[in-house]
Amino acid sequence: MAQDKPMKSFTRLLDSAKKATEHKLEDELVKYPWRRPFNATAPDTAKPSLKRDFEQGLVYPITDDVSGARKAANLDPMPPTAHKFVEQAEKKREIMKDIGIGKKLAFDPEKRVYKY
Amino acid sequence: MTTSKSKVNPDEKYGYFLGCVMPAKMPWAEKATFLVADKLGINWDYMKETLCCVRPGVWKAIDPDTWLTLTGQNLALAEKQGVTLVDSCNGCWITHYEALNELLEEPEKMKMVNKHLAKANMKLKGDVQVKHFLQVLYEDVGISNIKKAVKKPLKLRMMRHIGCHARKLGNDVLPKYFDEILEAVGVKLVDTPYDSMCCGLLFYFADPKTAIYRNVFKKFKLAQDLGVDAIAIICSGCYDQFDRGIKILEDEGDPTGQLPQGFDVPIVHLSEILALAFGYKPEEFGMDTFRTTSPSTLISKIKGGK
Repeated sequence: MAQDKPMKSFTRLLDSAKKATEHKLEDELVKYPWRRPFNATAPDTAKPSLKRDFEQGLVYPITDDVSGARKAANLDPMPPTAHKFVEQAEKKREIMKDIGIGKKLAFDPEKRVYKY
Repeated sequence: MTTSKSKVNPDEKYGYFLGCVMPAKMPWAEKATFLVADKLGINWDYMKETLCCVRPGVWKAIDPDTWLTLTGQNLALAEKQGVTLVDSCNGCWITHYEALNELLEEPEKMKMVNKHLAKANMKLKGDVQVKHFLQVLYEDVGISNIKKAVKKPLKLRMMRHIGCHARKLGNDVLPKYFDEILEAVGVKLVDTPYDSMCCGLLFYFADPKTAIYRNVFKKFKLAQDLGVDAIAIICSGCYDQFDRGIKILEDEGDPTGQLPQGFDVPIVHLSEILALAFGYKPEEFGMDTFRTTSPSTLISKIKGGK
């Protein structure tokens, strides 16, 4: 039944979460089948968008296509958000570091990957 | 330029908080919002340097103190810029509204937030106002002034999707404002059993099939069956989810068989509807570019004056 097939968009989302994670839980479960699975604080479904949040302060990037569409709408190609004011995203990262949320989520800002 | 006397306080500066979705996926709505504000004589500009709101459905679930602190960063920016923070996205609004109330009611949390903000040389006193764009239109501008600005009443039939967070203050506030504003510019609203059904945005991350096949496709099927001219929305988060639904339909088809012919009903933002009614041309805000369902039939209908 077609409805039983996994939804491609959701599979892509989980794949991008796997790519952003160093620790490979599926491999570990094959190697150590008796080991209790580890659940990271950040759910896989939220990892890709949280990563972008860490990196640019916002969830969606301003790509060339977006800039073109903004021009077509008679807008500045770059919105006056943290996309443009990158120092505000830097401040956000400083605040996050002070809170220690990166550690809780096991996100390594240098390597830009989740350890788990 | 204004066409009617506005009730808006000229000393109140509104700072439009774009959020994540509006600048990246809905430039036509962003531009239309500025055209509408200009026409209504609102002291309107961008709130600058903004970050993600931050998403309550994600951050609040992961760590409530982080949610409060990062939301506090945006509130501190609005305070420093001396603007009333205005959201048109319900998700952004609910996070700003709830975080500000929580921080004002609980001084210990305000202290905690300021301790972290200080690391970035920022400070939040709490001397800032948060408003939904619907509140600005309905409470500050007023329905009568919106009606006075109408040049071309839109004789269109629309389904509306207000979104869940807009019900926070009850159905007599934002949902009522939304309906009355749409009706003020000539839109004929078609009531349906799915008007208050969630778009499924957050649900998608837990159960994507139910979120898309039930929450989105059921609504789409009904819109198509009813032959409405458009689905009117206000929330960027809901738009993002509907947009996802359209892309999934195009890429993967519809195994539930609800939409065998695809989906072609445009999903339009309230600001676009107002801009058209106020006499702006669709090209002035790029209405027919960069969207998954083309509003070309709607545009032809308006231009043809049918």
